[in-house]
Amino acid sequence: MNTRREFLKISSLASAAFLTPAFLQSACNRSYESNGKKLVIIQLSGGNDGLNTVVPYQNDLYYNARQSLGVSASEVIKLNDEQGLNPVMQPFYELYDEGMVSILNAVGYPNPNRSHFRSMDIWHTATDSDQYAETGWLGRYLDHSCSGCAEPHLLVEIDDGLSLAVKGEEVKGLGVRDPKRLYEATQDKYLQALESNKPKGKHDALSYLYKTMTETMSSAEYIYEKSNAKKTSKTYPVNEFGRKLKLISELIQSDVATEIFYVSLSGFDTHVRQRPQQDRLLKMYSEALKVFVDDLKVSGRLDDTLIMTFSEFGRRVSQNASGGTDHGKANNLFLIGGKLQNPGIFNSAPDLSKLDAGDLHYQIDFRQVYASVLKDWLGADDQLILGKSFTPLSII
Amino acid sequence: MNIYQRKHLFSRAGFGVRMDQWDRLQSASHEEIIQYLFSSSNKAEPLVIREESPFKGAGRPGMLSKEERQQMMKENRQLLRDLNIAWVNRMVSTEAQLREKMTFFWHDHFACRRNGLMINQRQNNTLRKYALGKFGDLVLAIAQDPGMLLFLNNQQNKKQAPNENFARELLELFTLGRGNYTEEDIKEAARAFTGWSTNFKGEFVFRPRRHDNGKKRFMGKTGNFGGEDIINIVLENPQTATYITTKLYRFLVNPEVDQEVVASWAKSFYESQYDIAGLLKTIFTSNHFYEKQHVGARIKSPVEYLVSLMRLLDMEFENPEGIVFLEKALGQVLFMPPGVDGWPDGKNWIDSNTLMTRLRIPMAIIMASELKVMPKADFSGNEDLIKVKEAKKMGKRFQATINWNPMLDYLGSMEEETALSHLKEYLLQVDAPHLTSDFLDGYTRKRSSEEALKWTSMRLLCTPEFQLC
Repeated sequence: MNTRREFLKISSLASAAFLTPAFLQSACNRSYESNGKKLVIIQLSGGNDGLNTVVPYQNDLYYNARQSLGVSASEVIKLNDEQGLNPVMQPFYELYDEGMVSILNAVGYPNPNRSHFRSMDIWHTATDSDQYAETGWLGRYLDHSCSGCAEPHLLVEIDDGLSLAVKGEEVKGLGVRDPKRLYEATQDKYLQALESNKPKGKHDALSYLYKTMTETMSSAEYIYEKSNAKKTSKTYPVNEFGRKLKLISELIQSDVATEIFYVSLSGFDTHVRQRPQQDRLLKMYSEALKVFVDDLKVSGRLDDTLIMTFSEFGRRVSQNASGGTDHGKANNLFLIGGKLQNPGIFNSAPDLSKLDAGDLHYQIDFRQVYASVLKDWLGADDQLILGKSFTPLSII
Repeated sequence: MNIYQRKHLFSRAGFGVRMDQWDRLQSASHEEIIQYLFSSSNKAEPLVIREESPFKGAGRPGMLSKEERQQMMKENRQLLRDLNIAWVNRMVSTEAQLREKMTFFWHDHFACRRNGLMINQRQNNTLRKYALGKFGDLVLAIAQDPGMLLFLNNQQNKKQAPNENFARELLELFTLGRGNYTEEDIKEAARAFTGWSTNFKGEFVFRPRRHDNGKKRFMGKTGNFGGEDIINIVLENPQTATYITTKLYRFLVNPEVDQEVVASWAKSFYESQYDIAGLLKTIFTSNHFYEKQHVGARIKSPVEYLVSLMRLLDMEFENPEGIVFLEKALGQVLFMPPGVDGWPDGKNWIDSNTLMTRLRIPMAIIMASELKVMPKADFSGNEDLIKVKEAKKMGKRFQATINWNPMLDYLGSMEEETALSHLKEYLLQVDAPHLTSDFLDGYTRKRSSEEALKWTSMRLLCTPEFQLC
């Protein structure tokens, strides 16, 4: 058994439970076993305008505030007698119609911050808005799920760099934009030689660097092999976002040990001429998502997969003078999966008559959603990871 | 002192050595080196890329159309990149290494995030001016710095409706540290800073009508305190000296703190009335600083990594935006700290991706080859920091000029093994006996000596060892 590659081949013959190279580490004391569930986070960066995504098409206050930007009642895809979807979201509606979507209205947090950076950090770290943390909520899940032995590929972010959400104290996720490219980079002969020539000794920082290098090589190889193991027959939209969801689907279908996938779609900061830009992005989102969900369904993976879509904030209720909207506060959040407890519209539409300085008040703290996802989906200790207790929701 | 100890001083008190300092570094006495370090940082040369606002006369932002404002913001982002690049180039080339290193330290300590060029340039020069002076003067200057006042909402701090943001960070992050004050102290301190504001020209103004002239009770003292009084009371508390000395210890000596040593240094810092240069002298002349466990114990921050690389290789990017591109890819963009408490450091810099990028940058630069890394998208799709097209181009091909001649002159006449050991001493901050000549594929003159130098340097720079300082 000379190389990791050979080990992987041999172990795959043995048992699916042995597939993860983390098993190689002898001192693994996972505080909870993987329950086989997959979590996919889709981040809409820039602050998606939730009111033009899920439109309150019967509300005069909405149309008064959005004289030229409002999505007209005749256009929307009606969900109930209050709210309807932006017409570009037909594929998303089909998922909704099949009972695979929960729409949570007015999700936010107390004392909201309208800065992209700060608000995104608050969502990533799951702290109160006046607190700061250096680790993300999913990173802390990695830390707690296996102290000192989780490998980076337990969480894969489809990108070249990592979001704060996926960085833990001890364990950080793996950023993979392109498995082949990352694999080839780690296969560099010189870097491989360095890795096998690592110095002995107790130099703390140096050991950490070499350990990270070893894990990166092992995880990159593992993800690359897995990404080649199954090719989907579904046709994904030809764009970056479609490509990323396709990669996630293929990894899931190949029984990858990765539990959490993180992917971002950016460009939602629509201060100017919002309609065409947001429509293009929502269309891209809905189309790729529909193929992704169908793909998971036919491969029998949908019941074990939960998808969550969020944005760092919603936008102001009133449009601005440039046909766009400025930074706002509470926003809607979507959960998509085959095992939702309460599919449909989860809670009442945002109240446009009672605003917080021109913005929506929140009804649900986003950490209630996190708590439910951690506890009810991943089977983790939500209080330990979030630092305090949040009332869970009957969503999963 | 061995060579690594001598270099240790240069990599902590500055951004590492350059070839033109190498001879002096080896032959000078310790006293001479210390003397050089401080005397070359005597003056604070301001960093100025624009004498006055490029938008002067454009009117107040409120009077501009949305399009005009957006154009202005776009230009401002470019100017902020230019300022970032200018500062990195200053770090690379200046003799005043200690002053720039400390300006960089305070830039992280007094973390602030604003969009305008002038306001950032001004704050940066304030930090530079007081970087080695009295800590109390520095705190007062920052408390009257327009960028910081705006960033921490002191503009909104009024007698009728106090805003505690600035007062809280002053106590929590700038001076005493968490847990050394009460919520009541914050409330009272906020009252004392009411009316500390800025005008639209970006200058500090005190607005007496917004100021609360009532009695305040702060940390056991009562009086009609103003902001200056609060700062003085905070400085009278030795905890401030301990907090700053601890943070400096982590930055200059070791991320693992030796409490006893810190206590004794903090005491003399306090007794010197917070003389920063004095504290630095204490540190750099102590035996403790040069102990083996500290040498090479720190992981370079992305900026320290880049600057040390540029200094060692006498390197210049053909497209200076490459600097911002790499800062972004590695996770530290100057003037854009992630939050009020600055950048998380040490091991936080290193994850699978940033490490792989670091291990490939020297190769990409020396071979002018592909780096194949795309920095994370921003909210608007990267445009805030770097133009997408340029980023793609840069990911493909890195162009930089490196001046190999001084290194060639230095190593040229040596035996191969000797040349290699000198090159390792020059490029790395830790002894790396496992990187043998065989392993590195030889510093061999089978190739030309220039090729041998390039090849071996590249290999030594693409190591975990090079991440240490």
